[in-house]
Amino acid sequence: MKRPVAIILRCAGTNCDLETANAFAMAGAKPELTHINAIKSGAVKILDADIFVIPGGFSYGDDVAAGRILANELKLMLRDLKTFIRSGRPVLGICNGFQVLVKTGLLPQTKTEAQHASFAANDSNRFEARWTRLRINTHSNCLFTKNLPEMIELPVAHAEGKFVVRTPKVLEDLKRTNSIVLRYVNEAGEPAGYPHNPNGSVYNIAAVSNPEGNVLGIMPHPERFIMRYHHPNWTRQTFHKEGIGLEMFRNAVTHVQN
Amino acid sequence: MSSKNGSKSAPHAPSSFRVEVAGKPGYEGAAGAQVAAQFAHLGMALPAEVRVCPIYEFTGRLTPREVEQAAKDLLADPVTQEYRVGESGMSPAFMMAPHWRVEVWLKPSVSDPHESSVRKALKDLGLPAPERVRCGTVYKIVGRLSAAQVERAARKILSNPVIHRYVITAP
Amino acid sequence: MPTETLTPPSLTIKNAAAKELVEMSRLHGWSLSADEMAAIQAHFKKAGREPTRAEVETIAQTWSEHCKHKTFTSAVRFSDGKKQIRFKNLLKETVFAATEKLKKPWCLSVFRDNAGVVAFDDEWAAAFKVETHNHPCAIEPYGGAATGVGGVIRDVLGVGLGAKPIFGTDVFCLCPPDYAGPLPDDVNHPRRTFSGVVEGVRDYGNRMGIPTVGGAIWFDPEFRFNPLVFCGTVGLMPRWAVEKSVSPGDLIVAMGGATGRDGLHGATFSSAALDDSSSPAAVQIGHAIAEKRVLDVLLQARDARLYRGVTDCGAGGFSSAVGELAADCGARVALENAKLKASDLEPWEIWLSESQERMVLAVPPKSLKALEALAAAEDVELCVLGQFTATGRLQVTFKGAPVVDLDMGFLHDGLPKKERTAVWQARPQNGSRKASGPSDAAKLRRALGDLIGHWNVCSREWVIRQYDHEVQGGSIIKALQGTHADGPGDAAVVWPHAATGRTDDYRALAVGHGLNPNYGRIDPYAMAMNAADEALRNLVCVGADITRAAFLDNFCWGNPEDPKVLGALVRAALGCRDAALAFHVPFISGKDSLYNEYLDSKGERHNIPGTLLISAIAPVHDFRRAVTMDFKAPNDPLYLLGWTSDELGGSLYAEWCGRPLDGRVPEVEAGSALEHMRALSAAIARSLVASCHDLSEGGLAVAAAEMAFSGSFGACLDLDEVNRSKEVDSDEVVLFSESPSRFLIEVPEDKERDFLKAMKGQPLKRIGSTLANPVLRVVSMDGTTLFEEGLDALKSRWRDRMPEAMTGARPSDGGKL
Repeated sequence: MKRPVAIILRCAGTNCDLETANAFAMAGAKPELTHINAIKSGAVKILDADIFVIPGGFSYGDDVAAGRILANELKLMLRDLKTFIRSGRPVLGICNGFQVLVKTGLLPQTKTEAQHASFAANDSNRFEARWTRLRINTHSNCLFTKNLPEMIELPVAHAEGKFVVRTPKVLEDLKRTNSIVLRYVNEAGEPAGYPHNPNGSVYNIAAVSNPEGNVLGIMPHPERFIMRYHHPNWTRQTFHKEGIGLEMFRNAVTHVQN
Repeated sequence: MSSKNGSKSAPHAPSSFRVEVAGKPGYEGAAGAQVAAQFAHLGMALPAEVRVCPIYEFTGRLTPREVEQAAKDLLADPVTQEYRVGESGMSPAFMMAPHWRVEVWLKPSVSDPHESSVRKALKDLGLPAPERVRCGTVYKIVGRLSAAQVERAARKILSNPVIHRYVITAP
Repeated sequence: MPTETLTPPSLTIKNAAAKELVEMSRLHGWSLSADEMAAIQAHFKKAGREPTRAEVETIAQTWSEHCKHKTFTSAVRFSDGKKQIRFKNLLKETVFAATEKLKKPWCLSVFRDNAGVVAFDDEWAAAFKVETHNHPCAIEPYGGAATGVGGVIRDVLGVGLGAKPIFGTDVFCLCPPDYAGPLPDDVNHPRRTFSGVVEGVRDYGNRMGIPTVGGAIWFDPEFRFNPLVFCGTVGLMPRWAVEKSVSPGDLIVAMGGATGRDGLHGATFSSAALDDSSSPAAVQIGHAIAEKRVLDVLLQARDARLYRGVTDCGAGGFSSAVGELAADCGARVALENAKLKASDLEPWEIWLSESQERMVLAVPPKSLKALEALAAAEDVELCVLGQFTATGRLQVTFKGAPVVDLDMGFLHDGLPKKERTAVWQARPQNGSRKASGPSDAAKLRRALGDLIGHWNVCSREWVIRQYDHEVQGGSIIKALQGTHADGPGDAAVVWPHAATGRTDDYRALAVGHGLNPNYGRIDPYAMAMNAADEALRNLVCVGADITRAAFLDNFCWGNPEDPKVLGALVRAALGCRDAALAFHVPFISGKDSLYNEYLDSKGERHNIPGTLLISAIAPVHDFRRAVTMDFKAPNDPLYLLGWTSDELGGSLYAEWCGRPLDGRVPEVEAGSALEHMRALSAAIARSLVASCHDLSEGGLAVAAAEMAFSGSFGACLDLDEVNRSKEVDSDEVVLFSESPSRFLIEVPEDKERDFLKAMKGQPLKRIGSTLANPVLRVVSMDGTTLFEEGLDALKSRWRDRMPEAMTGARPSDGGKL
């Protein structure tokens, strides 16, 4: 079967590009590390790809605010991105990529161009690198999380990960359309405070999709759990045969192939 | 602010604009409380409140309208923050009890890593390149503090005089 | 532009009196001694002209302690009261001699490039460098630590043809943050220094996307004036890229940030003692994203083979970078080609500027276009500064006017040799403890509680969670371990093939550290042996192959002009040599930072305790068999490997008792230790071990407590079962002695027989079992229960110390993972 082409977007400060490319390669895609300048110059066309990924990192140092400068840059190619999304192809923003998708106004998806949510500094006001427990919304349309167990674990690593919404209605709409894909939870699977919720996100939100489910913004890093040996406790557990994160990349590849 | 600032041809003394950004109510952030807690280490009473805000200074070439656009589309987050250019505007984010104001800036001899990012971002917005961009931090401190105490806090907590300059304004 | 900048200001040196020369050096901040100034004077007398300022600045940088290690490479007359040793070159005859003697074929590049390089497999090599950035961190902790990280990353980018940084390590020696003693006004409070250096490492390392996977922090009030900050980077490179081959005709290309008046005199600054008026010009805050851009382009250019040599601009800026690359040929530089931040820089300032985030490359003219295209595609600036020549001279001009014209021979070999005097006097053996009668159980229990919360034992989680330690997807054994992912791991294990995409290759690298300045207060030789032992112990604990281990040294010392200070340094260097030879582990790179002293306003000198860090790296042949330190199951047998002696000198327990230096300092028996370490790491590689932790500060008691609360299983220890020397007659010694080369090992019940077979002939003894009950139960040598302590109580003291001091709050539990 044809290996779908996944554009892994790079710019100054992207730093999770290689492991994200590895994850897509293991899942059966053909990752293409693509600098944003190559898209701006027209050398690479977004619409030629099958999957579009904004990986983690510190785009432009997260100067001013995390993801803001890259988001402004992506707004210059918003038309292509929207066409890409409407065609149903998978778009994935991980960590800094999620921040970018939110600050371009692509997530939460609305009819306007405005930004309806944002990210604030973690409540601890510190960078937090830790593993989190996540509960998947089984009613979500998200193509990336299909057939995953309801409870999963993934690491976060960010300083501005507190997801916030402009108005209560934005949150209600997200709930109503089952666009909240992942929530931070405790060992019992219940939403809980710090450090279970590592940043203070409203409603413990860790990942958001569009209602159709082909655009996913996710704060935790699925590309950091593609082998069982990535888990912090692999030396004392036997139940992880492989990294649960890999399944999310496979789902994207399968979606394109079908 | 004079409207002449917009003229591009005649040489004139470069004008500068300051954009101050502040968290909307509920989005002040935890940085202020962390700064406040450090006053105890200097043997001072804890301030009632501290807010920490970014501040930017642009010199030359930008018109007031362009500065406004930079503030809106780049410097302030539309969901969590508000901005003001110069001393104007009394939106909720800027309403505060009388407070000491300590502005901290890098000395000109120290290269500011934020500057190049801000310049690049202005270019992406189609705005002209300013002659100079500076990025600083404002600490707004509410509390019964003497001028000497604020001075000491400025040196020991809020800045490092080796690389920073600070300006203190009394309530 | 004013005309003065076109004519380099000449100095009048030729006929100056010796006194004037010294004054001139002081005035310009050159840190050149009277002898060195005289050698420069003689050189220019012979040349029949006055030097330019830029020339003397270039010489001062090249001859600086930072660049030349002139103390460490000088002749030393050493006396320890009994015998005298004369070294022609201290470094060559100690640390380096051991490496030469061991002649390991897998050492690919040692002591000659920006980092040490060892083979990883047939295709790949690993480069490792650890640098200090102490002086800048003393006056600006955040910027000092950030530029320290940036600098050591550039070292690894600038070794051979460049290595991809795959992880970082960071080690600090600091004053405890809750220090309440007096401090001069110009000294940063230790709390500020601590949070500043952590934030500096965090913000630079995290932005670069290089995981900070390991390190250590040592707290001692004696570091309050001069904190030590060691930044390490490991890089991965194809083996074809290990060597540079600069040829005359290659273009000198500068890549990265523009040049400004930043950090002038960094190299000479690091060679001078700090005082109330230390120059701030040398301090910058660093620009990680500028360096990340350079990294991205440089590695693409390397793989396209577009250049033949590369080095970083560190201390001394262009002058050092071009001077090093051109050492064997020559160079011509036209400074007006440099990209500048400000237009008013004088030529010597451009030449010497230490602006961060710049690399210098040797590019064949035919490759320039391709390199320019690569750089332009990612917004990286390039400029052609000049060309390498075959003249043997370093020739620098600005718009045609000469700025520097120096003979490479004089620049690199003209430093006058000086013989230094070093004296070492052994401390009188102090108070062997008196036989102690029956144990005071309450006291020992109290000691354990206090030691587990001691600054040098307590949890580092508050720091580690601020570092992105998993970016790049290669962190296999993480710094935080156990049921709640917060236990203190021994060595980090990183999978380099996360960066190459060879996802079915399970070879990995482990990195560990050894450091204990307390032992050095008694005997720096013992400090060196113990540091080597500890670094190897850490590697063994995860199952690394220590027959392929390599060491790095970092010496941080006070003022070596004091013969006693230098004597201690020589003792440590001898210890390094002997440790390397006895463990068969070569040193591959090293660095020293001297003059770590503070001159107070009364003119009193405060030297740091001489401190040696040994970092070690070794391969793990199959990381799927690596182990962590947390107990895995109840009722597993617990074994102690190694001998316990009465060695409390310099230990935490001795400090707790208020007599920190009393007793014998731990003595390493490297020969036998090596044998049992090799056996243990082989047993781990055969999956015969469930968990393993080395015994270090706090001895058996602390190690057992840490393994227990990290794994949420208790343990019962019978002290009478411990293998010990005859003089050991009390529970307190067995519990808290810091005898080296020891490991506490949990063996899966069903593998006990195989384990014993594998460890046959080694000093191994079963001393207890793990328990389902979460307590640490200790049975005295007389057979009675000494104490039973709950794990929760121990853990909270261990876990809460640092966050309470730094944030005023206790951390909340993240639950089991």
